[in-house]
Amino acid sequence: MKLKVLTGFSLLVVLALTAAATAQEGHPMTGTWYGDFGTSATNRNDLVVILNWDGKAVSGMVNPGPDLVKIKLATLDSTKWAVHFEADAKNKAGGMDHFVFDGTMKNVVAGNRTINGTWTCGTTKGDFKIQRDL
Amino acid sequence: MRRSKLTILLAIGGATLLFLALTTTGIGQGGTPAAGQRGAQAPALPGAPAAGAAGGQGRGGGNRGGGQGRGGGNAAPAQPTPRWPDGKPMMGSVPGQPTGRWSGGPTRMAARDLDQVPFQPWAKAVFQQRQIDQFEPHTRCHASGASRQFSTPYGTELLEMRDLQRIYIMDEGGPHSYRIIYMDGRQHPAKLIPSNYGHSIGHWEGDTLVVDTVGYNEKFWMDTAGTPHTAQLHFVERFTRSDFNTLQYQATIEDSGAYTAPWTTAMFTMRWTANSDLFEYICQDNNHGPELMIGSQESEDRSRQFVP
Repeated sequence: MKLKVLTGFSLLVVLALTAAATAQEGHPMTGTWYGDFGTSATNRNDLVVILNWDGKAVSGMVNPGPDLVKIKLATLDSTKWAVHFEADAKNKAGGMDHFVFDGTMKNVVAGNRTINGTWTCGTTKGDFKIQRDL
Repeated sequence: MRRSKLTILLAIGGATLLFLALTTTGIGQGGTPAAGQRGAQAPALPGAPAAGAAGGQGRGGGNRGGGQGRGGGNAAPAQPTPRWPDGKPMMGSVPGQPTGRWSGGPTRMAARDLDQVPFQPWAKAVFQQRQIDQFEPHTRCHASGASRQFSTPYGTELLEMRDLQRIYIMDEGGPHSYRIIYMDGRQHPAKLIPSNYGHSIGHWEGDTLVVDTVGYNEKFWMDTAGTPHTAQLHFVERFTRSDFNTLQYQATIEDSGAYTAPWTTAMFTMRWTANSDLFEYICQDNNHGPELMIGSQESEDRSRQFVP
């Protein structure tokens, strides 16, 4: 039974990722982005971001799965290719941590474009780098 | 002595005249059989070598059709629009006559004055960036829908299958694929899997074929210039064969994901290239841009003779 549930859940995740990955040449933020974030070169954590443009706003999620985090706000300033997104994630104490990511998109026209930048969560801060899945 | 000089001069002059006569009629021409057929017919596309410059070879990678390369054969003489017995214009070849195809589709749908196009800010920025960095999916062998289908180097064939009430648009170059326009009165399905060519239905408005397409994905550019779109694109094309050799083409773009209002392109003209057929073109073979296909290369020099 557990196996069936797990298989079904995995299938849903794959379908979600596939649907997002089909969008490639539309809005530059749309797609699935892979990379990492951390406080230093040795303290790194995986980061998967799925973003979608509906014509008016960008929505999405961070690290899809049982502990996915919905993105509260995501914007693109196309004059500077500046990317901004925010998300609230549950912490171990049961509270919420507010993450803010600010980065710059590079190789905008390429399918494997990247976003590099910094993040903050309260007083903690660091850097992140994600690359768009082709 | 004077007579012998005169004889030599006459001999040289005669030989020159003979040489000119032979080259003009093509009798003395070597190389590929198509060398004399290409050249004047091919409408030049931006970034492509001039017709005839490649010695019978087509543009880019893939199998080349030798004499069937870009531009094809001689243009047919001016004639009125061919029509079916019911009076509707024929959009492609005329049964019983030599076959042909259309060349010279729109390479840039957006007006030169970009203020005339109701871009959303991101779409305008992307369009401008694409003028600098050209990573067009077509060069990676992806099928390209909308008007990009008509901007292949080797022309496009419109094949009417009246008994089946559908029209096929075959494009050469790229992935060697086709689009179906359903002419049987059906509507678009309520749910569509997004695709490169979308779902096309057509009808006649007088002598104009109106094609309505939805269900696009975002995996291609609408034209070679990189006019952006999203999956919300609703694309309406109007084809009018104003005479035997001329196909007028105009499109209306409705895409609230990329534009603030619907907009209509200028009128573009495609020309009939008679005595030619589509040929086998396998984009993936001998592709000059494998790095672009897997995304590891950041730029491509389009000033080169061969552009993948």
